[in-house]
Amino acid sequence: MKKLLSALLTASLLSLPGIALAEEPQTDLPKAEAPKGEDLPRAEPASQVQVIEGAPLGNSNVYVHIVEKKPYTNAGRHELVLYPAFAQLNAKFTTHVGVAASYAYHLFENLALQVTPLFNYVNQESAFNQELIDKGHQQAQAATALLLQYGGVAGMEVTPMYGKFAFYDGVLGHFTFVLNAGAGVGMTRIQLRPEQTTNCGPNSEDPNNPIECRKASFGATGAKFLGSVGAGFRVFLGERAAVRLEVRDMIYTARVDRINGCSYDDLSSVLTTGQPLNSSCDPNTFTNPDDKQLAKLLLKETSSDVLNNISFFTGFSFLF
Amino acid sequence: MTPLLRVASALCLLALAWPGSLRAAEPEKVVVRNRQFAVDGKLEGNLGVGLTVVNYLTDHTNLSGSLAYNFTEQLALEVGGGYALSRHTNVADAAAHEVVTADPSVQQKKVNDFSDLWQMGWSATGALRWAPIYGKLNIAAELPVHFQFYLLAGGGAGGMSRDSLVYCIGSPVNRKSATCSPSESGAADNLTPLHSSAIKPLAMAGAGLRFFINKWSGLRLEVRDVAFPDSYRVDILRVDSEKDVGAASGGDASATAGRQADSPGFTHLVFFQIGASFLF
Repeated sequence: MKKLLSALLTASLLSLPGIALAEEPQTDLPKAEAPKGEDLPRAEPASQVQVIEGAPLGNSNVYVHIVEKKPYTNAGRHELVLYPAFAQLNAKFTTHVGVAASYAYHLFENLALQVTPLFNYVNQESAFNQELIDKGHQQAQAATALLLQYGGVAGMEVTPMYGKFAFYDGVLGHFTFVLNAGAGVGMTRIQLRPEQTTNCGPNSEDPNNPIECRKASFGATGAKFLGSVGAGFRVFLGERAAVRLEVRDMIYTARVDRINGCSYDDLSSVLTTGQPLNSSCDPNTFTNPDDKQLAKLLLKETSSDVLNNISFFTGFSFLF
Repeated sequence: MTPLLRVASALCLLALAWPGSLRAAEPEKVVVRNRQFAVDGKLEGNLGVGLTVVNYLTDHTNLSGSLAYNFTEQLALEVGGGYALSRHTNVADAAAHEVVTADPSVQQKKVNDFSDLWQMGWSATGALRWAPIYGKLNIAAELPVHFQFYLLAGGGAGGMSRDSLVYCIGSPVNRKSATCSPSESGAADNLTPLHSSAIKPLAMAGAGLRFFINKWSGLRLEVRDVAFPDSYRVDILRVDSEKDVGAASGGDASATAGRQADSPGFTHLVFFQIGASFLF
């Protein structure tokens, strides 16, 4: 038993980098006498051990034990994350650019509870969608082009992988691979009319029939269930700071049957009699006079979809 | 500087100045520097398949192969080629259908063709690859995996083809059932789309990870942007284009309706690529 303990102690000492920093590692350390038949880390002859700055790196078992050592622990810590910019990657019919923040409490080393509010300061239909309208007289269905204004999700994050990297041979970095998932609520809207800034006003193609320059107009489509799944890397800058690089899929269910509280029947009534059928519909919420007509056209066919808004998040973490 | 950037910078400085920050221990540094998988001076063969990440009017599946020589642990020169299987998306087909079924004497008399409609066939590229980061990660505290992160940039040439969605040649008997698709060639009421082909210069940039499986093989995951100059016609009078029989066989060079766009820009094909890497 004593021999076994002695061998384990010796192997542990050899695998500790701090201990291995001795200038002459091949001398002075007690020799291990491993019992026959035991599967212990195999100590290589001193002449064959490749020593780089004192670390015995020739033994492949040493790699495993050292790579498991974490200089930064997560358990019991709080984490605040600011994402100053995230941008939609699958910007086919919609374009989103936003800002988000996140708070996480690390229950265990590999599990955290997380809350993430987000706000898309750019949320509009894509240039491709506009090209389809202009050239092909085609348009994505209302539900497919639903825009996410702001929202929040709460969930959890797991850290199944931990690693280290070196930039050339100089800078050492530590990182974790994170997976997160959550659920929440998001406020949505739909674009009724795109912004018109060219070929309008005095620059109209037909000066006798000038086109009015105007901003884009939108209609509110209400709160929708919001789900989130994501994956990414958290690269530590030190014990209390990290950079986060993540891809998140914000999933929201989209069924568009009302715009600004007005159904198709409400808008038909407003356009003919000036009064909606339901009190939830306020015609004054439409910015431009012809927005009601555009909203009615979008509601002519009730559409539904499940949207995947995949975005790349860059953020900065502060741990305390 | 925006307020958000100011807050981020302040947080960064605060965190870096906090006691205990940046306490990377020297022994760990030397361990991660010791590369279990060295590539310096090695030849390398790669095989991969890439899918376009977002499909607007076309989608591509690119089968590729390359040979590389690693001058150092960080730098390599890579030459390769590929062939992309490509097609129009449903959105493109729907747009073409909408245009061709409209009577050109009444609706959509003058049209502009769509941008980003070229489809890549073969491609030949050369690239410089820079892998400044070598790392290890530990899966579930049991399996250490070694990897390289790399950036690459280069150029080359590609064989491109294009079938217009709005320049349709022919006279349909029944306008409502008309189509304008190369895949329905010979069908009743199918008009012939203006076909173009060209060899175009390519610019390429990407980033990826190579996970080492053993000393001679690895798995590559990569995102690669292939860009090339776009070109398309605008101000097309559809009445004229439908009668432009010479362009049906002569292609874009023989087309008489409309003109080339002044500033067509570049088409970007962004591929997510997965592949195997073999070191010799």
